[in-house]
Amino acid sequence: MKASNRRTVQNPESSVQFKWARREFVCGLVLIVIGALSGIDAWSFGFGSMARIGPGFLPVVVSVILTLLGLAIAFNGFMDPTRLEKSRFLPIAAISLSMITWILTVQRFGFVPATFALVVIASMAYPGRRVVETLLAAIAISVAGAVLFITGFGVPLDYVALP
Amino acid sequence: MSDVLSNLAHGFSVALAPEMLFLCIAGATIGMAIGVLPGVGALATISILLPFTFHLEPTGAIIMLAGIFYGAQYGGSVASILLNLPGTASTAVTALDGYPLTKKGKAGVALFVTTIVSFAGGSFAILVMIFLAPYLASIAREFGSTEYFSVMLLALIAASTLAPGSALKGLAMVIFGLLLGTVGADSTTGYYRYTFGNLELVDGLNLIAVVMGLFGVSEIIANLVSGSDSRQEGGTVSLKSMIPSRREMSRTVGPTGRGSVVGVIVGILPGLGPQVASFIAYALEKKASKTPERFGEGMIEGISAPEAANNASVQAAFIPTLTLGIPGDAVMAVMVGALMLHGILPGPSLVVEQADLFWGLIASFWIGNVILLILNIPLIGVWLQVLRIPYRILYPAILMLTCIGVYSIRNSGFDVAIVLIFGLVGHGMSLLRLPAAPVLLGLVLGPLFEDHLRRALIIGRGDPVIFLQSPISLGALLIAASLLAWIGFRSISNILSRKKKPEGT
Repeated sequence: MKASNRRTVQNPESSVQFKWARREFVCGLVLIVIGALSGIDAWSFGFGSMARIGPGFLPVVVSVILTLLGLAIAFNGFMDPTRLEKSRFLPIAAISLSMITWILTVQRFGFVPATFALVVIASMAYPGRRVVETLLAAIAISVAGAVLFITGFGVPLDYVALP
Repeated sequence: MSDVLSNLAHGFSVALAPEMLFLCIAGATIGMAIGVLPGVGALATISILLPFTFHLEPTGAIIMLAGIFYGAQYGGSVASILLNLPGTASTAVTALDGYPLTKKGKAGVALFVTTIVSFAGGSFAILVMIFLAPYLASIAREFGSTEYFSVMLLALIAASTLAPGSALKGLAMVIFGLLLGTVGADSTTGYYRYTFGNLELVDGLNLIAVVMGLFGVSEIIANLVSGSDSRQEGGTVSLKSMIPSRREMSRTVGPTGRGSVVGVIVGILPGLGPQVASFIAYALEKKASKTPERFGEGMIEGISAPEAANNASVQAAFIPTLTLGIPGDAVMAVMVGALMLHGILPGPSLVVEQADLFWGLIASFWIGNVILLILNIPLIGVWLQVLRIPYRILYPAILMLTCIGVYSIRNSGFDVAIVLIFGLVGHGMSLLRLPAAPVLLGLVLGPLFEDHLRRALIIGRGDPVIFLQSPISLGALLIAASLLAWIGFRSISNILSRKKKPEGT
């Protein structure tokens, strides 16, 4: 039984799966949680009456439908043996950190340093270290971006700012 | 008839103005250059380039966006033929027979045929659009809130259920999109919904930021997670090798005609995008062929029909988008969003009130298609070079474009954070195999949907019977209900048949 389950999972070459999590079932659960939370929050918006629907009408209705669809998907997927694929921490962390850094530094230090940091941090998500290539790419991308957007499109940002 | 001709002449005078011509050429070329990149589909291309069009006036902006869109569509075909790397689902069909042709050393012929056939399919759809759009707009001018609500409901349900993949999941994602559309101040009472005390959310979620997150950043994360940067060596293409023989050319005529018709019909229907059109056209061609077993081995027919259908449906999708204001798929949803950012609400009055924009856009479609035809062939060598840029340099550059592009919309770092959040949400969705395109449709239509619902109920004094009293509304609701019944029936029969079969087969 177990061996036959293994063979049904998709993309066996490209991914690692959770042992316990059935993908379709988890998917249903996630939707139920989103639907329930948004529905509870929307209850306080004011439902209104049918003749004059309030700000909470559509959110509540939509949340209820989302919860019901989540239930249907979870029910449907309960018997589906396909496992949930695992993601990888490094790409998620590197991309998130690079964008957060950009957001926090672009106004204070200017576009070029912020973008330089963005490229360097984002590049860490790629396997293998190529220090010189990464630094050259970071310089090229940040300078090209500055010329295009600040000089060209007039986006109100400093090239380089001293705090 | 003469009316249409004079309108069209006016359109050409708008679109041939030097500035518009430049925007059209620039859009098509840049769209193609980015669309060629593997893993970057038409939607991602549009969303990356959308912020650049904000500084333009509306007609120029929409002409450039349309150019970017069909340029990206062409570019995707190039990548799938030469490298078997389709950027979108619709060009995946082209790769079925296109890549085998490349392996046989016939890449040049395949590209040439694709270009000509795409042009033919696109032109056919434009012709249909010229005659059908004003007519459709005149019907839509009679629409009240009741009709709009029901037709939108139908579009949302059709879009989520007819697209490939699980109908339940599609439906859930349209609903999720509607929910996201309610974020911000309510249009009548001004009540802050789901803002969590954050004033930047009062205007609602920035559509572009959501698009870039769901389609740009999540795509990058997915590529890095799976490590799928598998590049095959592409064939080299000389100009001489591109000229097909007379026999090969004549073999494309039938498939092109059939594909164009399929494309136009599918394109007009809500919810069915180019990927469905190209799949249907391919399947139809296989049925019509005397040698169906040779499909997949490099049949000219196998690239002609889906490419014609693809481009025809791309153009035809503008018909409901511009005349009813109801986009059929995610790309059109972004187009509508872009128009609304310029203060133009697409709908029946657009054809009359924004005649410059409407007829200019139609004329620019044709000009853009001609330009692509001329550009595509000599530029193939350049595209091959573009394809050689390693992904490890490409994705940080795309991230830079994403960050500054979204930032420049309203100089807001908060919007860039929204991009990141939706990038992560989108990655989670792809792990759960939840489709992202329906979310956009829900998000764009959500506020309009709510307004029309509210107005219709006010007119009906709270009695929902009003939706059954207009024939158009009743018809739309009946079709929507039968779609839902069909999904219900299908998923129940799925469960039953799964019980019969032993698990794991």
